[in-house]
Amino acid sequence: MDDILFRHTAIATPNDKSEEFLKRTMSSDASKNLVDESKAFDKLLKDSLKVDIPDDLADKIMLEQSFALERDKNISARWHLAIAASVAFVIGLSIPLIQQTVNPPVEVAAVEKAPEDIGNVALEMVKNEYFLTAKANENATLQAVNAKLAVYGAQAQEGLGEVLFVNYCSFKGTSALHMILKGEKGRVTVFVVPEKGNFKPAAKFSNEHLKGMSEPMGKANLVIVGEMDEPLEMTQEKLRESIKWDI
Amino acid sequence: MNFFKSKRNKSSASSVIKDMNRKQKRYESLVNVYSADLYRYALWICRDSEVAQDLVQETCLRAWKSIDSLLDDKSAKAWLFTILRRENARRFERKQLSLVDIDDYEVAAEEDTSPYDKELIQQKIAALPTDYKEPLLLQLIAGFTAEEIAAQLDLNKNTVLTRLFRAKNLLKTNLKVEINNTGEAHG
Repeated sequence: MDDILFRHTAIATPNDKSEEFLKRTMSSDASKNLVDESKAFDKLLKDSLKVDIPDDLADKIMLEQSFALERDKNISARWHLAIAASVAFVIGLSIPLIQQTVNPPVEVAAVEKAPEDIGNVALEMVKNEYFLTAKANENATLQAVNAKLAVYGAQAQEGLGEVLFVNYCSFKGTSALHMILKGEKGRVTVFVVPEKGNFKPAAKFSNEHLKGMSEPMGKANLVIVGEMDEPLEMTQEKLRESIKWDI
Repeated sequence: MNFFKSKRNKSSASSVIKDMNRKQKRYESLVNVYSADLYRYALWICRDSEVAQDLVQETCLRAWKSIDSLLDDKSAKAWLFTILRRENARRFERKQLSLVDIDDYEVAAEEDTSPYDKELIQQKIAALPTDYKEPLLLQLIAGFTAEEIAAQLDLNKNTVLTRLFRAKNLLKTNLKVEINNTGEAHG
């Protein structure tokens, strides 16, 4: 190690531990003094650099870290919330869409637009309630029938025949009376639908299994539905004779 | 089957917690051991206690986030100082801070005549050019060897030795001049 390199190393890094440097240091008093002086100067500088540290520095760092952890947690929680909200949003959007594709929105549109054909509603109701009423036989008394008919401003007399079922029902949202009478061949369904239901009148109607007729009576429409071979006119006649309507 | 599954899940959950605790302990020791040196170094390069504290905070937060990538604790110090220096560089990217005017530090220098006056030495260190100051601080505050400083600053070892040598010579000269000047003034 030449003089220049030794001088350099002694001043730059007096604590160098390389064997070469240590050997050279011990070789003469002058070089030892140089290294010692240099070490002392380093120490002086080091002491000068030792500025005071804020007392709570480490605590502050820990605190900051705990806040950061909490923030991360919150952010990830919000992230989950956002996903949940998106999923809910998509479901909310798609349910009406699915419903529309499964049952095309004919009914919805019809209710909102033109009044519905009273015959179609009647046929549909008889079909839908067939399983409920096919075997029903309440053997309703004239009193029971009248108690319900009174709501529609009507009163029945003897001659109505056997009444197998009588109750209120929802006739496409309108509160109506649903009666089942014994006809000539089978059962005859009679609806008393208040005129405020605002249905499109249909004097005669039918589908492949059933037929029906309706006529205004008092403040209501009388709808009669029966099977194909049922002479509905006879029931109609019977009803005209045995029910008195307030006008 | 279910029993085994739930048992396994439980033990893996508890090992996660253990892992978290280990991580936390490790982080706390890092902070306790190195935050003082980090702060001093930061203070000497930015000359503002608030900014220095912020830098150390930032450094420690970053360290926490990537503490898993720190494989052996021997390299922890070098790693932390690298983060600190990067944070400081970022600070300068964010906003151009007003540079410290060296003259401001020389004004007060006249009063004390003691050759080993701490404040005087501090002013002279602060006034060093950055190229000389940085290796000096890394050596005297962080206690890095010339090789470690070379790695930190991406320089070769000889350059680091030269800069340390010049930094110290410059300080000696400046301090002597200062002492002589004040001596004359009083003389």
